[in-house]
Amino acid sequence: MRALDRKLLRELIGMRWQILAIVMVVGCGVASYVAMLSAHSSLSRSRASYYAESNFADAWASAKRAPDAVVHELLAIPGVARAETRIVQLLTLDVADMPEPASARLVSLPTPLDSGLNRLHLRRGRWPEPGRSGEVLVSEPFANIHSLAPGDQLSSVMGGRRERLRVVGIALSPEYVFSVPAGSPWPDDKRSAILWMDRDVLAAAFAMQGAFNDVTFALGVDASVRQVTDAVDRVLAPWGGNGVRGRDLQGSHRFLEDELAQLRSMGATVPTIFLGVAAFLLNAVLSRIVAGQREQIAALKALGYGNIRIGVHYAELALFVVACGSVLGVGLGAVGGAAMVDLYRDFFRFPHLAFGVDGATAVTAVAISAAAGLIGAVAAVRGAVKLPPAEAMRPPTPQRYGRGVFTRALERALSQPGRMVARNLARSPLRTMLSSLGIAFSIAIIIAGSFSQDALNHVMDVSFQREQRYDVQGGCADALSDGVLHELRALPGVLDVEGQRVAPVRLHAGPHSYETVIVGMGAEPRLRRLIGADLRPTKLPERGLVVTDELARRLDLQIGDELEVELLEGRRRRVSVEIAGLSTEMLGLSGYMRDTALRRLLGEGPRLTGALLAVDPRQRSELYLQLQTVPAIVSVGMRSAVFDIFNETTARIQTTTTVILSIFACVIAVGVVYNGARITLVERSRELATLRVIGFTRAEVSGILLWELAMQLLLAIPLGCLLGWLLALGIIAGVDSELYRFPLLISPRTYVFATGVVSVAGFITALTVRRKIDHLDLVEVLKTRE
Amino acid sequence: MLDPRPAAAPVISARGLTKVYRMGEVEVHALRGVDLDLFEGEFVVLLGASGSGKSTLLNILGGLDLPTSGSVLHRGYDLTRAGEAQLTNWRRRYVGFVFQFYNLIPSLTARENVALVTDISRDPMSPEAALELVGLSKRIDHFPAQLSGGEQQRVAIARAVAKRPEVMLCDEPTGALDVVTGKVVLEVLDRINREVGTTTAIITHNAAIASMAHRVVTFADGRALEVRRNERRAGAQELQW
Repeated sequence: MRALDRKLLRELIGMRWQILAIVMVVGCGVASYVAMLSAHSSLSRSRASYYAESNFADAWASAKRAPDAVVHELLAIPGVARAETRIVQLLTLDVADMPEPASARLVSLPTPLDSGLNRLHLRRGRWPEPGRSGEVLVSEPFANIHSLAPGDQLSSVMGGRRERLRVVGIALSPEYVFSVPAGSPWPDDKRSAILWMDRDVLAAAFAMQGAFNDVTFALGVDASVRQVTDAVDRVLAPWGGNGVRGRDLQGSHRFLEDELAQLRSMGATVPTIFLGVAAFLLNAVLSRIVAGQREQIAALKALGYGNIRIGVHYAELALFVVACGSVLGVGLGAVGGAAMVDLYRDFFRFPHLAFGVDGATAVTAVAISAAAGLIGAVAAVRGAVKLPPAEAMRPPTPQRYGRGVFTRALERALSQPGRMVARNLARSPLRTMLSSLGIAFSIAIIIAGSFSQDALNHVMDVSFQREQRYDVQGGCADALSDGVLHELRALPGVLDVEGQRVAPVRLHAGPHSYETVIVGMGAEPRLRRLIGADLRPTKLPERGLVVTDELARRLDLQIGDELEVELLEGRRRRVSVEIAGLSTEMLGLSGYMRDTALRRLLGEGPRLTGALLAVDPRQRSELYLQLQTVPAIVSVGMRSAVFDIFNETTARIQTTTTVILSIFACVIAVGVVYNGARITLVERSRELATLRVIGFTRAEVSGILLWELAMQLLLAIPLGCLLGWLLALGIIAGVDSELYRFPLLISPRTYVFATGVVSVAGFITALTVRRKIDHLDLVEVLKTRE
Repeated sequence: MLDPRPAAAPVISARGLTKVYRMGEVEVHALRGVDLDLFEGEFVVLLGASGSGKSTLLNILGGLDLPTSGSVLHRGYDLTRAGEAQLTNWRRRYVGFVFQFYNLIPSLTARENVALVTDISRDPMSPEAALELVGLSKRIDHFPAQLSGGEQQRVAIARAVAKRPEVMLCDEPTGALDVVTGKVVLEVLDRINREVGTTTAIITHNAAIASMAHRVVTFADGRALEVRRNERRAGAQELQW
């Protein structure tokens, strides 16, 4: 081994803790980048292959009851490549291990069974025998949660009669990767089942022989949903059709897309920031290490080593660190990414979900780190080799210190060492700033990594405490007369009942349109309130439409503007309505109207599509039983269930991500603070040793350095909080979800946590540095000049 | 005693060297027109108080620094016209440096510090032979921090001599050492000059060292004031300071 390589090796060993700290910083930067983006690409890839192999449909439409022959009209529409009809029914389902009923979607099977669009994946058991009644396939997530296996029984009220359903198989469908129970904004595998049944049997049970109420489409290569919408609507309108939905409006796909989009935006922003911060630190640390060797560099030059050879030598140092960091980072990233994908496995129901490190992502992360390290090292080497060797070997000329207005005022109050601290900080503002900036970034990334928890808590509080105050939500298959309210009020344990009229609409404003629902409510709803920007309940105005502020933003609307409401049921009229107010909602993008106004719009009497119930908890199970006997109610949802499911899914994923990111951020923070202090120690060791020699005690000498570190930290805290706030702002801007919105809300606890972690890192570092100072070899430090 | 032949061509020949530093608003004239020749096999002491410009001269002679004006010829090759890469190459082949503060690489052992030079030289001595020459065979695997100042300086000398340089340039080689250790170091330099025949120039402010030299050049205020030839060269152990 050549002497220069030996030098490298020895220095790496000598600086092992520092190197380890930088390797960790780089590793965490690379790891978070690789983990998030690889998880995203693995999920996207799995979804794409699942969709492709199962012929996932391009569009959906439903009707009340259309004769089978209508399918020929649909197939004749230009752009429609395939159209497959089926029967879909909502019903409630009794499950042995749950007091409350589950809501189920009963879907007819195609013939032949494993053909057509949205092809099922039979996971266990067999297909239902054609013509044999009572045999169903159950969706795998629901079956897993309730430990259902082929041979088990379920019971439900079908067509007014209680029927026994026999589970013969377990299946997965690309349409129901997420199954969203009717009336719930959130998927819920526990309370929402998909059942598949032979078409003839299903048709017989619901009097749908020779008819269909649901149709799925595959479109031609160049066709778009928009193109076929009008024609399909025209064909289905006489049969009670209510609009075409593309994939973007398909419940499961929409949710999946939203989750992936979030993962992508989180995955792109946070780790990019981490990687950027790691790169910045790598750059700063390496340049300081190299600058500290300026005399060695001069000696090498004097001995006849050329600039390039010296440059290569330090580049090797940088590359070694980057290489170790990259190996660690890609490894950790693979573990972290696999853990994330594992988490999604419970949540994304794909038949195959394999995690793989995305090669391009890993290469990008490594390249960014390598470039940062090399730039840092090379810039410092250039600085060192630029000086003639003779000059570089002399100690750098003393920096020009002076007394500014600030320090002059301060100095009167300070002791001699205090003055040294003040002048050092004030006279090399760039170094002070860079050190503080490094620490500030670590504070900032901890905030950026963990603030989403605060935002999530806020979303939960507003949505599930302030807005939604019901216990149970019952949904009807069609809009019914409000007589059902009396029936519900008479049920055991019901304390309060409120009817809801939910009307599917398409909103048009200029070039924008958006498909959603308008919820009709009373003047002062008690069980489902609207919350204004001040987080207090707001009243619904007599007339006009209230939309969530985010929906107004998307449609580019303000209070007082008119928009077109296209009603997707009944006579499908288009009506112009004024925006009367905005609500601050964090879940979903809906519109709200006074029930009276909505009735006028729909041209109907007092009708409702669902009811909200406040329930006495002691009589809850009794109520569940009774609810199923109310024929009008086809779905039952619980606020606590929605809350739980929100908590279990989004919150769990968020929390895991937050924990992973926070750990990475903390490691980066510790690395930064430790390195900063160690390098400062090397840079200042002569000065500090001189002080010891002339009679300062160890405590006094360490005091100077520790005070400097403390001042840098103090400076970094407000800066870090500000940077953290800005990063959070950037992340929120990147999250574009229809399902929920994150407010920019960072709790004092998060600021305190971030500052605390960095302060503890600083404190521990200070202790190790203090030990180093105690062991400072005074004579050696003064005699030899490294 | 081997006396260099004054008639012989100089190894290094400097003419009209000036060097002006700018420090803030002040111009410092470190050299104000210096002529100097170093002859083959010669042992020269450049004597002067600190600030007399002698270090600047040594750095320029060794190709570590460039003069503001004037020329430095090494066997007819003009160093002042050479580029950075050529100077590096030239130093690598012809010059050995010894510095006041040794400038050893702390992370390398004595042997490895010497190997640093032998790695990049044509036909060098082995590091072991060079360390033998300075009497450090027994400390060959020690790190600089495990060596005394005198030993470190002898490693630096071994490092300088290992490439078999034409010229050895020593900047206050005893400046950081006590008398006894300083004498050992000077003895080593003297022996190398006598045995290997390496042209050696030492700069020092210590007048006592002058009596070891063939020739003594006294510096003051950026000029060579006086050139003196010693009739008899004193041995290093005879020196007193």
